[in-house]
Amino acid sequence: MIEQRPLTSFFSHFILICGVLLVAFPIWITFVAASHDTARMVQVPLPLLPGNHFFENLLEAFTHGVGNAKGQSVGLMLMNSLIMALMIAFGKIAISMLSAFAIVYFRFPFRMTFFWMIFITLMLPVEVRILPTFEVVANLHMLNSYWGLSIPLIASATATFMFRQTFLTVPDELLEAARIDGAGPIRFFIDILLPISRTNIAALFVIVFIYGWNQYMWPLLITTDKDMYTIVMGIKQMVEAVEEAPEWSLIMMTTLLAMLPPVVVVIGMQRLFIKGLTETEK
Amino acid sequence: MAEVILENITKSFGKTEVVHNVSAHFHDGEFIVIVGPSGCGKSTVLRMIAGLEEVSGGNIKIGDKLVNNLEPKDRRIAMVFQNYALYPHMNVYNNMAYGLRLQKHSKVEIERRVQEAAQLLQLGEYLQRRPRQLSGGQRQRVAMGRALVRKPEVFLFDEPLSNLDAKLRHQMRVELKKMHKNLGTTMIYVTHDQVEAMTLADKIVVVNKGRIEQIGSPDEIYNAPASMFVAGFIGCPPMNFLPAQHSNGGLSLENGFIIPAKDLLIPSDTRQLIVGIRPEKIEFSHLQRESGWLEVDIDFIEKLGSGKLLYTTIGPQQLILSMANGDDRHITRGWIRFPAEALYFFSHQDGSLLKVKSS
Ligand SMILES: Nc1ncnc2c1ncn2[C@@H]1O[C@H](COP(=O)(O)OP(=O)(O)O)[C@@H](O)[C@H]1O
Ligand SMILES: [Mg+2]
Repeated sequence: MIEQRPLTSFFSHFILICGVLLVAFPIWITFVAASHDTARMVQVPLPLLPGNHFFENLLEAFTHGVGNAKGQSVGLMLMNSLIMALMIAFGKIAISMLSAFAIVYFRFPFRMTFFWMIFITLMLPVEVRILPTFEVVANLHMLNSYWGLSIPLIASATATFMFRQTFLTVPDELLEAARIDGAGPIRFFIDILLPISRTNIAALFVIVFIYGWNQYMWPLLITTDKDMYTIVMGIKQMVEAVEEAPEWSLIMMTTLLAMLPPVVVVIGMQRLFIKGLTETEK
Repeated sequence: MAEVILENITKSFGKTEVVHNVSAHFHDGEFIVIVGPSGCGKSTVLRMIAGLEEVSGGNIKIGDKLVNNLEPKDRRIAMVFQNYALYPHMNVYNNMAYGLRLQKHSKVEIERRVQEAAQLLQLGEYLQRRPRQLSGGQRQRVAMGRALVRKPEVFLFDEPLSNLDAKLRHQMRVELKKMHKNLGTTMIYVTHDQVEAMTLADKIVVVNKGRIEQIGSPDEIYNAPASMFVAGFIGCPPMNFLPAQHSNGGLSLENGFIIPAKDLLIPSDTRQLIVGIRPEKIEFSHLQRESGWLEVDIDFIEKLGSGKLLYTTIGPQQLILSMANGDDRHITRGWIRFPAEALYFFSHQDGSLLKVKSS
């Protein structure tokens, strides 16, 4: 908008501020809850201003864990989540880039068949194929392991498709120039395609990292060992504590911690992320 | 330094053959221009020489070596593309150095060659820039530089100047010609622009619909075109073509005007033929003339600065006259004459040049 009329300006700001409040309020409440002791959190009315138990709670969460997951420190769960999310993100990017590379740059029999087969898996997310996938993972003895947590989530039609589109916009002459310069397929992939797609990779990394981080159902299914719990399923376990009232302050502290890594990733990669989604010039 | 020999090259994409039986011998150090209308297959020929397309039939030799099955990098060629095809994520230096690194040249050697090319092409101050931070002309130079540092035996250019504005195009044309003079390397240059062909070439190859129409020096191509196609394609404005018939007194044009026969050497064995004459060869007078001169209306005049073009019609046929400046009267009619020695005769059927019966 180029216009600078005060009324328009006022309204757009008003709406934006409402939006911010709407999003920020729950987070504020989470923060407030995380800074009171457990006793205060079961009294009505609930506090709206922060208390002074923030660091105690932080220490407690990191060292002892909460509820059903008692004894499981939040630190370990964070680590598990991080490892899983990173494995999924890097795995997905590597696999889908390579398959897109094969589909775009090589002529082999049934090329399009393979492409459509990959494409069709769009309709088969983990939730749909959860039983057979569990069977496979169990038979491969990957229950309660990082491999089991990440591998079934790695194959991705969306990412393959996205990289295919990116590669299709790379002018043919670039490949030809590289061939004349003496670059074979692998060199071309590493020296030319990879750097050219770096913004797309960043954008995909952000999306996939958060996708991996937020996984709930799959980790719940294949981890029975408390050492393999991820943070998202851990929170759920805490709420389901049976013998006592939920320790809201600690749960909220954990939630706060669980939100941090995705936020860091988004903020850290914001510039590349936006470029990756909007940039067209190659 | 190498000669390039094409022997009966054909190329098919699927079932359609787009290059038919092309043979040519390009000598060491020649500047060859392959020229033809868009879609005639000239890029395909060039890309087969480069090794980017396989030949469907025939042989390509560079130097004495049969290169049909060699990878592009092993053919000792370098190529400049129309859209430059610079690596967008590398700076100018790396764009030029990339190929050399893959060839495993030493760092010192790479540095030396790149600096040399940069100096020749006046790119010295841009070495650290990315292609997108350069103007079209500068990108063009980088593309040239990337070819130059390879020290190839044959340079291949695919319409390298067609993305530049007219002024730059002219400037680069001159520089290219200079570069060729200095290096003395064989260069094969593809273009659809007959001006580039005429100005750059030692030898022009005119291609039409996947076939070679004529090979020759610019003068030969201009003065002795082998077919109507060549005559019409080379020269700006193009040659005028007028259908004509034999008649008693000479050649009768469609409007009934007869080019007198007395000093004509007409190919006698055909009744129907096509007469060609270059715009600058038609004589014009605004004073009334007698026999042998045809009175015409001038439809409009195009001023070119250095001269002017007069447009008229003979029957349904448009005729263009090219004249020097000078008389600036507003001309609406005049008298024209076709000098016998400037006439070309083409076959009515296939457009081939008809040999004049020598008397
Ligand atoms: N990869 C390809 N597949 C199919 N047809 C092609 C291919 N490349 C070129 N052609 C066809 O070959 C003909 C010649 O193309 P080209 O050599 O690029 O012409 P130009 O003389 O304009 O450079 C055109 O009709 C074009 O459609
Ligand atoms: Mg072309």
